[in-house]
Amino acid sequence: MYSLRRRLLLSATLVLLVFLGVMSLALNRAFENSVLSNAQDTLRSQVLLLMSNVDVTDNVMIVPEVLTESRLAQMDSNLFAQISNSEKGVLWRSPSLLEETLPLMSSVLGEYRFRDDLDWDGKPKIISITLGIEWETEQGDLPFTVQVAEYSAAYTQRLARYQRQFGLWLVILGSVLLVLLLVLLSWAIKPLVKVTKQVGEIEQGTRQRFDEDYPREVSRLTQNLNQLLNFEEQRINQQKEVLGNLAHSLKTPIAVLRGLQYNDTNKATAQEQLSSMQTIIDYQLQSASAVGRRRFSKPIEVKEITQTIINSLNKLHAAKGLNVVMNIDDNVKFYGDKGDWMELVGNLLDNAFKWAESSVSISVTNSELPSYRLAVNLFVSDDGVGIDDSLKSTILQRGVRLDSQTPGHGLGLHIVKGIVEAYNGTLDISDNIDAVNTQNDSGKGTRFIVSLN
Amino acid sequence: MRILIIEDELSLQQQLADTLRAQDYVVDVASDGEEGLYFGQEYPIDLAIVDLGLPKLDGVEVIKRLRQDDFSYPILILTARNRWQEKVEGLEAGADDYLTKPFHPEELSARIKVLLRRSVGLADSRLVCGPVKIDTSSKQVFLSEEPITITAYEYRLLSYLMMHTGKVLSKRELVDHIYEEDDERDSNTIEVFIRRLRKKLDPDGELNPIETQRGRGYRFRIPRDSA
Repeated sequence: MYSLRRRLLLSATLVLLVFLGVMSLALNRAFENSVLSNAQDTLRSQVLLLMSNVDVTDNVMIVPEVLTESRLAQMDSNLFAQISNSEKGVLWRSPSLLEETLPLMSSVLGEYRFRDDLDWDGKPKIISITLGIEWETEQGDLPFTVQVAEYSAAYTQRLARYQRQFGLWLVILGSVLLVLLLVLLSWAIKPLVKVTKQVGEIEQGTRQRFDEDYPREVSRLTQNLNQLLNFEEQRINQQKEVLGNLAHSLKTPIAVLRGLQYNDTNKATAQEQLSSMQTIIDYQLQSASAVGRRRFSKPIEVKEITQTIINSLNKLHAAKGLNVVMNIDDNVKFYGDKGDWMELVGNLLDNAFKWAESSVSISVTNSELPSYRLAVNLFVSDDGVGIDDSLKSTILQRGVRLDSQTPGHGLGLHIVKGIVEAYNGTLDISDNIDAVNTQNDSGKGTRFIVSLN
Repeated sequence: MRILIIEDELSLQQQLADTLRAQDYVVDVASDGEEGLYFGQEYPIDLAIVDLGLPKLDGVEVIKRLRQDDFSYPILILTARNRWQEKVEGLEAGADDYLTKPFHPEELSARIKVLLRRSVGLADSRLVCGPVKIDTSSKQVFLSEEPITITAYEYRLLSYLMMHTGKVLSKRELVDHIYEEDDERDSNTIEVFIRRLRKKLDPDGELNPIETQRGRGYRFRIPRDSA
């Protein structure tokens, strides 16, 4: 998933890795150098020490049996020395060499030369230093080379130990830094997480507005969203109010005109025109006032509201003594406008009450949708005469007006259709199977099936 | 029968009042919620027609308060806003029926008749007490199935007596339910009407349908036929 937190984490880790990598490389190199120069210093001082013991007499090199540096005398030592020149070959070997010869390397007069890559016949690696010397004697100058070598294992071991320890510390340091970064990052993006959470809550309707205490960078966003929410709420209320007022101001005059006494010649025309005016107003206002899905709406508790509608209808149709069955769980919810729900259910139930022989039933269920929301499935059934199949399909066609076509299912169904369309839902009409199976031969009953997503 | 109209639109109010008076109802009118509530509480009303969008006091509120004060006469809502939310609010508040503006005057009088009948427990428009029968829709009176001629005021008095058969009704109450507020109201005329009714309903003096309870009023004696 594309996540801000993941991006931050990834970039922080990358920065950390590059930084630690470069640092460890540099430190390693520095330590290597210091180890090497340490080794060189040791060898150099060995050369000087050796030279201080050497004497030349009669063009013969004399080296004392007892050396100042005991390691050169020991047999299993890691320090070796030999003195040679180009004329006579090896002039002297340290006892530690056990008669073997150090690999020859070039030398320059008066200068130290270092090599750490000499190959000594399959023995362990050595680090080696040479110094070219011309010994002044009475017979002339005697040129020779002093070579001191040491197994480099001691140094490489030290280096390896250092690297191990350094690596360990690096890992510890890196993890501590990473954890610290993680903590800091989640602290920094906490407001964003909160926004996301509150958006969810607002969508679910458990919250009305975003909190006010957001940091500057986010508060612009949340304040604007709050304003947008206010604005939408106002707009919907205004729209409802304007439409209601319009209805009120148009309908009362029509009612007055209706009640006037007309003479015989114009009575029919006047009534007809008034009826058509009334129908037009009803259609337009009803379809315009369906609010439809609101972006952030509090879900309504279906059961309670539906019960009030049933109570009202029971009162209006008390004389029929219908058996009304309501099948709605306590937690069934509708994400939409309360007025729309009342309109939808009111009209469907009103029709059912009008047409029912003896019983009306309504059931509402929720079903899961991929998004946050729940779909609502509504069934309203009666055991009345039923609707002809041909008429059913006419009713279901989009945009068909139902005023004169369906007796008693006129404007109400038009409104129902308008609401279903506003919620991108579906409307279906079938015979009421229960009624067909159980009782009357005259009617097959009607079942309206609405689902809103 | 005395009907209260609470409607702020004066032309409609006037028209309703005229229509209902023409149908022999006693009519009181109020133009806002407060006045309507007052009339509804103080006058002996048999039915109220309440517009929901009223100045000063909302129609729903008027209905709620009337019901809180135990006034049980039927209430018919008039509403221009044809939304179920409003209808349900009004009906939950205690109204008995609703009518959406604009409406046919015939529709209104039909609803009123049904509500009045229902309020006294009648199943249809016929009201029968023994040999006396009235048809509340055609406003005709029959004695042993024979139609008898009767004046408008006599009809009002008789139908009121028969709707409350068995109950003692004071002259005062009868006057209130039969006369308009500003009519000349003389309780002696009740005596005159009672005498005329007795003569028409009981020419032989055997039936004696209307009893005089001295100092208390009158009582229609014959119980209503069941169904």
